[in-house]
Amino acid sequence: MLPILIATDAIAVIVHATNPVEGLSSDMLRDIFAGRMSRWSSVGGLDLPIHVVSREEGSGTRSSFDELVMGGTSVTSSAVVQDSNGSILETVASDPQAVGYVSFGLVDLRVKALAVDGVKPGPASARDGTYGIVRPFLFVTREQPTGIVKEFVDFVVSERGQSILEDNGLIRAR
Amino acid sequence: MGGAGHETVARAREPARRDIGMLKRTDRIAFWVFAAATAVALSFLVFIISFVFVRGIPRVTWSFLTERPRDMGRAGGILPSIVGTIALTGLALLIGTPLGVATAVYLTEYTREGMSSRVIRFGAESLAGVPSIIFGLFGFLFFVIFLGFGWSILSGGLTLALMILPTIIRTSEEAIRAVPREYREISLSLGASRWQTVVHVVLPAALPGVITGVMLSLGRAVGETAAVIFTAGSSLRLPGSIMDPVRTLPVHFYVLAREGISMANAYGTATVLLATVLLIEIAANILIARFSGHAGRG
Amino acid sequence: MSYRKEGSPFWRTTVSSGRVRSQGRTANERVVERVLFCCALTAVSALALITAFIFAEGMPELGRTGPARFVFGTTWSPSRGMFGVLPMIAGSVAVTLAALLMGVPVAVACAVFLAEMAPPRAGVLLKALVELLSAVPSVVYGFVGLTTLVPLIREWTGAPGFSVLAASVVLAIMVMPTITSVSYESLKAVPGSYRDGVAALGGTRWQAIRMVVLPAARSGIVAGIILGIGRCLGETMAVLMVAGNAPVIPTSLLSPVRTLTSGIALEMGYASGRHREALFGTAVVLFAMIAALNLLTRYVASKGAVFGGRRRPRDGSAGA
Repeated sequence: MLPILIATDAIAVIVHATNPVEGLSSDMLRDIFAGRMSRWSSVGGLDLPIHVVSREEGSGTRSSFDELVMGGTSVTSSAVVQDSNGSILETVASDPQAVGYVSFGLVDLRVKALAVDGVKPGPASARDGTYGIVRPFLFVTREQPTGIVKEFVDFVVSERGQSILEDNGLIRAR
Repeated sequence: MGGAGHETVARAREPARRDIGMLKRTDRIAFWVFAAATAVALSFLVFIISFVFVRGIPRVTWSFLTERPRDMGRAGGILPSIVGTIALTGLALLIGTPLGVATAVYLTEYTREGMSSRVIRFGAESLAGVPSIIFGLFGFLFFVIFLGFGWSILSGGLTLALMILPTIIRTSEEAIRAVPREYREISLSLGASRWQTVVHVVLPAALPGVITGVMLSLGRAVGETAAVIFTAGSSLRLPGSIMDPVRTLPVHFYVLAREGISMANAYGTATVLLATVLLIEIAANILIARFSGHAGRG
Repeated sequence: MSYRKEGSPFWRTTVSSGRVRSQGRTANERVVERVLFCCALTAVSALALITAFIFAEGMPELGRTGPARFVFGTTWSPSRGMFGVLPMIAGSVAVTLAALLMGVPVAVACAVFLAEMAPPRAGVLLKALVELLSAVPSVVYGFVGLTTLVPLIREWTGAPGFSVLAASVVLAIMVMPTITSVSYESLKAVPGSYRDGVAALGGTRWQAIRMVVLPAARSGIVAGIILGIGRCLGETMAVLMVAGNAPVIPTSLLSPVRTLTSGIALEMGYASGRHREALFGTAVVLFAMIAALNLLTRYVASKGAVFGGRRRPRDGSAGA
């Protein structure tokens, strides 16, 4: 199989816009999602329980998050589970105590993307490698693409294709 | 249980000797308590309908109904979902109704209660209890993959046809059984065959009941999500044939609302969906009322 | 169209005009009967196919994990290869029980009011309105629950809101029309002479209902409740939206919970390999629970075939 990198995607850790917490260390992040840290006060927030929101097992976002953030530990099984980036966003946007993770492109004004180890997610920090939670988006073909498949791949990696991806919050591959 | 009835009647005599005023008061309290329960049930209906309609009706314009969605449903209309829903449920009825009515005719007119009718009835009754997600999984394994129909109107329609089959069988059987015996006797005495009697006498007389069952099934099929999402796909394009995937109204609503794509369009879609199923159900109820009126005279 | 002399097609004959031609009808009758019989086998063959396909896809994982460890395992973690569905079984049972506790009293009370207390015409009309609740699609129930109930519970308790409570309230409302409708029919099937008997003894209407009518209609009401259990266990989309879907055995009404059905719908989208087979294994467990419930229904129906047992609606959504 032949992978073709078309873009990269920063996974943003999001909280409600009113949450006073601005950033977390990667250890804190892991502890929160593992269920070992359960109150916002232990990370400089209000004295309220943390509501962990996660994607379902099997999803790409979840496995990237498991790999890039959780390391060997697993997300607490008592986390609220939603089956799309959109519903994670909706859940966090409506719950001041929630924390979740979504593709950076989806972040809107109702939620706040947290800095991780002092770095805010964004196209710049993702491209220069300072923001660590970044995953590749790949096209996969069985062999060297030809015909319309090649045309499509060429379009996506062309200047026009890449700027469409960029408009949708992804980080260009070239 | 008849014996138990007598016993309880005997017990009823004892409190009757007590203070009649108190009994009357209890009677009144019971009335209001039970009326309150009914009011609670109806308030849910009013709440859900108004919740959806208040938010959705402003969005339901002619262009919303006749345009294709743009930008994943953020803008534009819901035409493909309307067409998809009609195609899917239409196909389900087209397949489910003849099979269901034929089963009912076989059970009522062509066989006595015995092994075969028991097996058939067992199948229909058990099928009625199967959760819709199981139908969805089965449709995915059997129609989508095994028979190679893919995510399509055909796969979804066949899955829904199986799902509504028990309802059509049961309502048709009841309707056919309600046709007076004399109708059949007269027809047969005129020299008609059993089949001729069924086609020209029994089915026309049972038609309102059969249609009621079909409409109840239609209402259920239109609102179904779990069985459809695994079998009909989720395409936003206008289908060109029954081999094309579609996204029905409930699935479209689910995706829009769940992923926060567009709340305005989600409520608009929900309004169209809810209005459709409510109208179908109300029409079915009117038919039931008229039908049972006729049956009373027959 | 051709018109054959002998054995003209039977649908051409005109009963309406009073004359019937009947040629070659014994042969036709036999064909008709065979065709009808084949149609009639659809339902039972569909049932057999459904069972075969779901089991064929689900049993391998049950075998791999071991049936007992699959059913009684408490950890569901596909990425670590751990497939225990007990949390989901517990979740399904918890939301079903809580929904029945809330829904049954209201539903039966509603049925009693409509069948016994309200003026007959009003009773029929109001019953039709209550049954409209069964026409509301489950995604609509789920979404209304998600946007009203979940935030309400969150504000009151400080919990995430996605919970056993949210799921069971939604389910209670969803099964109410089923239980009301079936209970109503069985109350109506109690002979009027029973009520007259109590009245003749000087009993009030409430005494008649409590001591005679309700006990006589008991088996029908129980059948309605069992139907309601089936709907609760089988409901997917509404529960998926409000339950929170955490695969842990719930410890309180406020715990997020995952049911068998919502677990399947939640993960089916991206599941592959063993994970996918395990989801079909979950479907096998659900299937077995529904089958057990069907047997229970049969048992209750056979016990209580005295009053209108035969004509009882079997399908909740169409309890007319």
